[in-house]
Amino acid sequence: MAGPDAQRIVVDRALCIGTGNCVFYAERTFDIDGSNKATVVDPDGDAIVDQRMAVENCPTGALSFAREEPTA
Amino acid sequence: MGSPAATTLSDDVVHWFTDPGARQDPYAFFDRLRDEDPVHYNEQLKTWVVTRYDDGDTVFRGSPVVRNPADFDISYMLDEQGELRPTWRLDRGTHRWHDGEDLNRIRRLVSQVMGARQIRSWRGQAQEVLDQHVERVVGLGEADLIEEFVFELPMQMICRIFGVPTSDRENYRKWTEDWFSAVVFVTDPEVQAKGDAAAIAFEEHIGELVKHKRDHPDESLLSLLIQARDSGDKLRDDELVAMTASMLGAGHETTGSLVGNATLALLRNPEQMALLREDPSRAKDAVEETLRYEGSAMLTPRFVAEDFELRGRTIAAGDMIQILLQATGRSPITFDDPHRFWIDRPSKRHLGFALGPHFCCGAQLARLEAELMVTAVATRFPNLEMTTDEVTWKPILGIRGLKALPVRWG
Repeated sequence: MAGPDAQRIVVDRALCIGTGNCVFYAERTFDIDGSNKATVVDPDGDAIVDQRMAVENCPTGALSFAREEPTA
Repeated sequence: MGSPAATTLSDDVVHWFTDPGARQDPYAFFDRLRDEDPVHYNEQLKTWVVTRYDDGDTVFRGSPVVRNPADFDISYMLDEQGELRPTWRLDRGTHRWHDGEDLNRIRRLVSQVMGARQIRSWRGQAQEVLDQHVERVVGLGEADLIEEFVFELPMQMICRIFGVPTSDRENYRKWTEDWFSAVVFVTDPEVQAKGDAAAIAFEEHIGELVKHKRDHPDESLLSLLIQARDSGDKLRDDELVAMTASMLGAGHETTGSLVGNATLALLRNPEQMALLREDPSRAKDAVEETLRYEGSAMLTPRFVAEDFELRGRTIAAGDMIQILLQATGRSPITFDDPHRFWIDRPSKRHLGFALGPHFCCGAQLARLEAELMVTAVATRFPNLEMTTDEVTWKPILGIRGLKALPVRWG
């Protein structure tokens, strides 16, 4: 759930080669789009521990967490 | 290792690479090498040898790390006439030797059929194929699971994905073993000759498959590769043949061996088998743990295009680095109690599919097949037990896989 410490997952599309590893670790958060690149379909789709596994195990380091800007 | 105490670490490394006998139980040797010289250079083999997880990760993701550096000496791949030996001709046509845009070109093609999303849609069909096979095997009451079980699903699936009949499966298994046996650090002329013969037979056979498929196009991966080849500069002839051979081969050998290794680990750790039986949805985790604990790819080479610093050593441009994958999985700095097979292990990290631009193209297919097969092992074979405590491993350097796994159940 998005809270004060919520982190946003960022996909670097230049680095992504579409291995689908993130979909394996966090299948409700990620998908592979028509250009064979990872995309976030639901930021709250999986437990944070699974999302972290996906980010850390991205074979090309294309995923990272960015701190959410506080809204107003 | 069984080697006398007077031998040096370098001798033991050479022994491990060249003598299949030394690889039966390699983990004590891995621990010693990782402790004493984690970034080892071997003068005799002319390669660096990496055994720590974090170093493997660094090499796989390193930017000057490539598969095909410009100044790489390929003389060991050539015959007396200066031509690539058939085994190497076939191997060099695969994406394993590509870098940069050449590699991405192949990945883009293959992922159209083998991508994560596409593989998910094969699940029902894979389960059906597996169920039918389990029905046939389960009545036997006793079998060698390597011979009778682990390769069936991967072989059926890779043939379906390529849109080719399974009638030549025995040839695929034999050609793949002979080819893979001959491509890494092999000097035995007999093994080389067998590998060359297998590569030539495989090439000829694929030529026939391509000819037939060109006249009968469909939605298969082979049709897609042929279209890419015929429609311009997307795929070369040698790549079409090599990619097909490589995936028909790797598509069964590595996945089947992985399931054999998982089954062995579960049988040797009955409390883990009990956990899996209690909740078969843990099969996915059991597969990931096997990829760390005893994955089926033994080692993979990389080269550096420019000087590369690793743990205080300078790896010079053009040098080869061999990453010993099972050694990285047992790194105590990265993994608590690394020699324990533990399917609920919180960390799912491993280098079983490598990392970086050459991350295994078939990883998601392998995971699906292995998950289904490991589930079947745990749930369809009551009271499964080994009929012998002794196991022997295949002599192939590139593959960690059992020669046989004799079991009974019922």
